[in-house]
Amino acid sequence: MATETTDVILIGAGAAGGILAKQLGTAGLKVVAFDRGAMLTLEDYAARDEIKFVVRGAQLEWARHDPVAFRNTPAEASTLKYDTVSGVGGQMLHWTAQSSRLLPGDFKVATNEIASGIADRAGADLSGYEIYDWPIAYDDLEPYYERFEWEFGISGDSGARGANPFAGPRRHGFPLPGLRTNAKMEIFRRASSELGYHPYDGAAGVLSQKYRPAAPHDTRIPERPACTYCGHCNDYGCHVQAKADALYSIMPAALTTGNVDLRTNTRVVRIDLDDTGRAAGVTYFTPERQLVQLRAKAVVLCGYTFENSRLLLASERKGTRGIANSSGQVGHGAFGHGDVNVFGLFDDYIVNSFIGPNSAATRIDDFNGNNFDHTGLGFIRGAGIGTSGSGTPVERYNTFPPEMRGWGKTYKEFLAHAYTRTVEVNVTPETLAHRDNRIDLDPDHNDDWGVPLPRLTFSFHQNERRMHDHLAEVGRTILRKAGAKTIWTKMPGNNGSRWAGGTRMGSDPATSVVDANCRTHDVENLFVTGASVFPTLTGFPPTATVGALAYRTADYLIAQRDLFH
Amino acid sequence: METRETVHAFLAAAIDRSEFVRRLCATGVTAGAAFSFAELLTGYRAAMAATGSVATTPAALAPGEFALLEAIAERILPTTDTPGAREAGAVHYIDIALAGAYKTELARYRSGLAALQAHCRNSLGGPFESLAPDAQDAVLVNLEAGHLADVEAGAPFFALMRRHVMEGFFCDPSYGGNHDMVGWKLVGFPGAQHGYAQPYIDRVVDIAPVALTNASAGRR
Repeated sequence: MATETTDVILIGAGAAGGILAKQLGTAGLKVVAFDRGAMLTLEDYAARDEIKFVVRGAQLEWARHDPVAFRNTPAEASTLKYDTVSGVGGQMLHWTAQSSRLLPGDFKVATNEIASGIADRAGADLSGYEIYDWPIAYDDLEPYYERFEWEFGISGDSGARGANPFAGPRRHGFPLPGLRTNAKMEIFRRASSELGYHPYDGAAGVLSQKYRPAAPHDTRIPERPACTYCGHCNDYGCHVQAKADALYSIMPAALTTGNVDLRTNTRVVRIDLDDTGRAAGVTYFTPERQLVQLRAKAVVLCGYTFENSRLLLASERKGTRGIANSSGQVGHGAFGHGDVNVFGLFDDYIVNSFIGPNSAATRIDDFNGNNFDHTGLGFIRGAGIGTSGSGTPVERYNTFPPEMRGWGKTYKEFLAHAYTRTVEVNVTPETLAHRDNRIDLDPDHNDDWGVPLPRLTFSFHQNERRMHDHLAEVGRTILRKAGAKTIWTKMPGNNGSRWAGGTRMGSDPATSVVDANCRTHDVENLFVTGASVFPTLTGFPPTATVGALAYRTADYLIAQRDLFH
Repeated sequence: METRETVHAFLAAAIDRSEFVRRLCATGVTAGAAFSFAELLTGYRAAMAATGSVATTPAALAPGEFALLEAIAERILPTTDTPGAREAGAVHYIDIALAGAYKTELARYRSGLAALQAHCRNSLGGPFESLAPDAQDAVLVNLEAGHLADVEAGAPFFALMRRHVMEGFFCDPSYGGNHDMVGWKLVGFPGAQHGYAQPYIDRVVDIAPVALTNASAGRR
């Protein structure tokens, strides 16, 4: 039987894969997009059912086939974690939808903070850390951030309520006005202003009005209605599809090109190289568990962080350490945020945090990146800080001060009083790449298709711990200023969220896996995109940058006509 | 045991479901049996409801286990001047879950509840349900702290029960708990609203709570 061929193979149909499918298909390239999960329908993901989606993690159902092995140190046995969403749309199916551009300085930490002497003046101990600049700058991504914002429909305040003085320049504003404000935003804004900080309303991937992109943007993207402020947002799919997701905004447009063949419930197990070291295609299981091959002129890994490193490592050829890994860096530089949450109880003020999306939030970047004086603090970098705390009661019953017993009459009275009166400040501290934090293949566990599980070894180290302590106090200061009667703090355990890294982007092939265009240094027709290419994590969620990088990678691929003749 | 006797024993909640099936198989009942189990069950429940008794038979727990867990749930979220776990039917939620989504936890409940009850009988002179509320709380404080030597892994077992009681208090009523939305009403949560027309800043949301089945009705 002749082996099937196509122009481009995409492995993963989430934010990055969805964008690439649409852009490449529109340019006339034949695309096959694989996803190990399903093409979900509204009924699958959108009920406002907290037991189903938050408590029992229905969106994570698929992960039972393919968990991630996790350990803090090499001395520990791994435990299996089941918290990666699979299916068309990827992590956007349950994202909070905070759509943040990185700050210009976020791209140049090695230059700005280490070479400049800031780290020394801070007294930071950076032993063990592996810190590299991005090979691109904010200006390289700016047009692509804009494309992401206008195609996915990002709601943002363009300065009327106070611009973020630390943000990079924008050629255009947001396509939609900011979301409706709420009590916690007003409380946070007032207190942080009084402290001399610079509050701004964060951009959100949730529609403040009904929206369909107009020319010059992609008018094939379907119209979607405005947010209803139902509050079932983070960890849920959206019941009116007001939350941005590749599943129902980008993928339908991709499929109208006639050039995109979406193959769900398939499992790519290996990237195949030919004798010359170029990517020949992939080997995958069909939904019927037939193991078949597909040949292509280019292959793009668009999976979640763990999957990208894992497939490169699992595609090992005899005597090698995986493919695209001459640097030995595949899997290195894995990081996730160690969120600090500070809670404030306002006895006399009703907050009703359960109303509206969590992405309707007021934030400050006064303690993010290098925006504050680190002299003598003992750490570099910082965090985005903003309001948080949506959730139904079943998601919030553990929100109580640590000195309280979490059951009994007093606890019940506390819940009755505090549920509508608690404001949460969320701190998203940057985690630096550390030599001990990495993804490799688990020697003990395979997935249902026989591929070794990705294994994450991860701990926070000295720079993170000092930063967490310092920024927790900033959060408490804001809530004290706001007049909270009771304040308590939840520090991160030794585990993160919003995972990135593992296939670092860089200009030096000795210390990175892909170049500035997301092309692997070693294999000229193999690309990796997604948060796995981030050299530094930053104090922001990754999704907007993942989207911008995917648009940019698509433009680059389309221009590489030599790959496709 | 005769087939009909087996069915009646089950309906009287004297045996659990797996035991029922085992006994039923042992009697050699076939598809051609001369009665409908479903009809019997329906008639039994209707009769129970008519007499004002609890109309449900535990789905997973034995009646004794159900009663003990209800007594524990009562201490976790006690009935005060407002409804507690008992009025919410939190243990009904747990029982349904243990027959389905949480069935892998059933053995943990079985062994944990038995060990806790044995501790009360051996060390405190009677079953948990017979103790005064303060004494019950003291047992649970020790259980939560892992200080009951005769209850293996007591701290995680208490955490499991607490978590499930809280779920049963605050879940959508379609899951068998949060009866009449008493949990939501207690804290001021209006349920699975389609959305909110206004921000409700600085004031109580003065709209009636809505459960998922009601919320989705008419919107499909």
